[in-house]
Amino acid sequence: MNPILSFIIMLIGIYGIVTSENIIKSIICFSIIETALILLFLNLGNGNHGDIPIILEGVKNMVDPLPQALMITTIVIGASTTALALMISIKIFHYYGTLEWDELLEREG
Amino acid sequence: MELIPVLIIMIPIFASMIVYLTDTKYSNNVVFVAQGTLSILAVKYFIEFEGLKEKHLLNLGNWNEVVSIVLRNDKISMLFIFLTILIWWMILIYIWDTKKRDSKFIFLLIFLEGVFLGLLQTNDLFTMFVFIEITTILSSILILYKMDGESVRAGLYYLLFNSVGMMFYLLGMAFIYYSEGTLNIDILTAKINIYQGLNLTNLSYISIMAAVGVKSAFFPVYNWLPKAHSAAPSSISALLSGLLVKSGLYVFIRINSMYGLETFREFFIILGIFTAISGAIFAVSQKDLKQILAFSTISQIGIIMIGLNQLEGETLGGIMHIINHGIFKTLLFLSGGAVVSLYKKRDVTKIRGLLKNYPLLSIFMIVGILSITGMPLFNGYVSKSIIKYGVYSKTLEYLMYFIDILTLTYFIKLSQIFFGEKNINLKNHKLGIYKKIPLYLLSLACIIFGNFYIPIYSLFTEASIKYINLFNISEWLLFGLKAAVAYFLYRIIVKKDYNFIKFLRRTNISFSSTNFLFILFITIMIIWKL
Amino acid sequence: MKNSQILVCFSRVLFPFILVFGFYVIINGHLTPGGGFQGGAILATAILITYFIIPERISILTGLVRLEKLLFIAIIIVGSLSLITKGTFFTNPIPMDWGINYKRIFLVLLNFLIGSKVSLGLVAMFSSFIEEGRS
Repeated sequence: MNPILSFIIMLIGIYGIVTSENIIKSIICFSIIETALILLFLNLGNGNHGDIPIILEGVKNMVDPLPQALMITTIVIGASTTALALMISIKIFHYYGTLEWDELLEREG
Repeated sequence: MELIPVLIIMIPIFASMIVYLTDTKYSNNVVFVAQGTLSILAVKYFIEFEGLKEKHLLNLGNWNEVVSIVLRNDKISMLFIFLTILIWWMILIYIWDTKKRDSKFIFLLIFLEGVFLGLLQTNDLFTMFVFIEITTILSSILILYKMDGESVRAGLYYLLFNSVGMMFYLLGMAFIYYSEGTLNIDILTAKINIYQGLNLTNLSYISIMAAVGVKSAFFPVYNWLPKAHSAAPSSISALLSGLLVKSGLYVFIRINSMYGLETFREFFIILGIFTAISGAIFAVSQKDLKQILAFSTISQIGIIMIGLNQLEGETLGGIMHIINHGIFKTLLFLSGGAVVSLYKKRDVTKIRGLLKNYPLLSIFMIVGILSITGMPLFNGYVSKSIIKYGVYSKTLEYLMYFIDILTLTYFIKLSQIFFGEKNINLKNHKLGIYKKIPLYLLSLACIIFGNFYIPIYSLFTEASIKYINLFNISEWLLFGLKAAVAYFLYRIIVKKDYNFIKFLRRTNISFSSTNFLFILFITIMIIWKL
Repeated sequence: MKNSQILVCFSRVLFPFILVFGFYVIINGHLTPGGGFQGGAILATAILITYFIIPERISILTGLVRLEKLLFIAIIIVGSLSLITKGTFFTNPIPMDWGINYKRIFLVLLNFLIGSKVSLGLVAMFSSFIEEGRS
């Protein structure tokens, strides 16, 4: 159930990027694709529906803790890429006066 | 001695932080000391482990191998490490005078070197993802360093498109982790079995190859490269074209040797031919000096792809062309940058008189042009001949001759800047000594790699390359014949500047269409597999 | 720019709950899932909501950045405490045969430092956008 949900969210994000005309829309759709992939990764170890991965008494069936550790790094990378892209689009509005992709490639700075 | 791989990554990062935090006028000396230590450590590491006949693994933290971070060095990665250190030396000497007080620029440049050296040594799919993303962010900041309209637009396009491409790498990694349970490259090489049909392992290969295709500029998805490489400052353009594009090809080599797949070999050869021909046709139609060189990078990457996908054990031609292309493309971009800064123009039809005004600079540029077009006695000839000997059908060989003729055509178009009269207005502009040294050293490297290739490459590989004959008369005559056909083509078609060529110069693909082409690329690969 | 009244009203109600939940996730990091990074992100959400509640807030950006650098040095110092007692870097400095109540101190302290550093970092990053848009 859960992997199919994250595929649906990823397809929504890909559709958004293929038909977007605004820069901010492209950045938002990129963030949606990233969120969907993080959800997919976190669901991978969950096949046993086990317990939390901390050693206490009476815990037998643990969820895999490795994807959770890797995804912390991925969230930080995604946040910094989004922040940098937003800063560059502020500068683009300064120079070109528009935020649409088609007009951006036609005009001169 | 055991910790040298970690030191190779950490020394540039610490040096860059010291330069950024203490903003003095001695920052150049700090960088010089750091880079010198790095070179001595690399050479010592190579000698100590006897040329790395088997690979050397370094397990950080002594955890279990399934989940730990492992650094690994073998012959291919040592070759790339030496190329990286050489090209960074050249760039640092080139900007020694002009960017002396600019601590932010030096900080970003040296940090990028540390991260790139980390990318070349990993043995783990996830650390490769992290290092590639950091490289993307840092090089997009360096591209838009000048902060005028064109650089900012190119930087945003580069950043967004490469990040979307790396998302598919993450998808492929999720598939592999679900079916195998580990992310270590050595364990996966032993463990992966390829079945027919459309199961998870094949889908993961297709996803990862799509991301690698975006990063190394294959045929439908190379639109970010001309914009980025021509809007950047000239030293950063040389760095991007010479080295950072090759990071995608390095990941390609590693992942191919991990999977061992046979069905996609012909697909990549056909893709390489399309890349080379389309890059050359677009390069013929351009007028801007840097755009011609950027499209020529795309064309040479096509040739490298043909070389890397031969049968098992004959991929030396591709790897040798990566090294040679790094050297002469850096030489061309650095000398082109010097020409643009001296004449203050970028149009090839308007710059005149280089041979009479600056004879030394034009000699360096002529050495670069002769290397890239494959004249015997220079290094382009060696790698191109190895690739030509390796192809298995006659039509491919004739197509490679056609690509050579197109390469000669656009370089003849570029070399119209040499002719003309001596100009009195330019007498005050001179070329500094710090810009002449890297050009001289790189030209020397071109000539050395063209003649003494046998002792150099016998350290890194066991294949025998003795069958190339440098003084074969038929090869010289073939080169002369290609040059004549190219000149003929240039006079008749290119110089008249037809409407078709004007149309090719002005095409611009917007961001949404580029993503659509990317999805088309993935669909074609899935259909090929079935 | 006018904010909607419903958003302002609900933010006022939700603000103490998010704050308490963030601190709960940070401090109980060694018993339940969560820990430093996750709790820090929740705390950052709580602090950023106050931009809706008080539209004319005084900017404290330079103070935040300086505090973040001090926290980084504190993390390095706590991490290198174990060099004195055990000889390796970034492990638990308290000896093995003491009770479990003493060994917990290191975990809770490290979680707390990392949580506050992450939240301050995210708040500084997003509030610099809002401050620039306001001026």
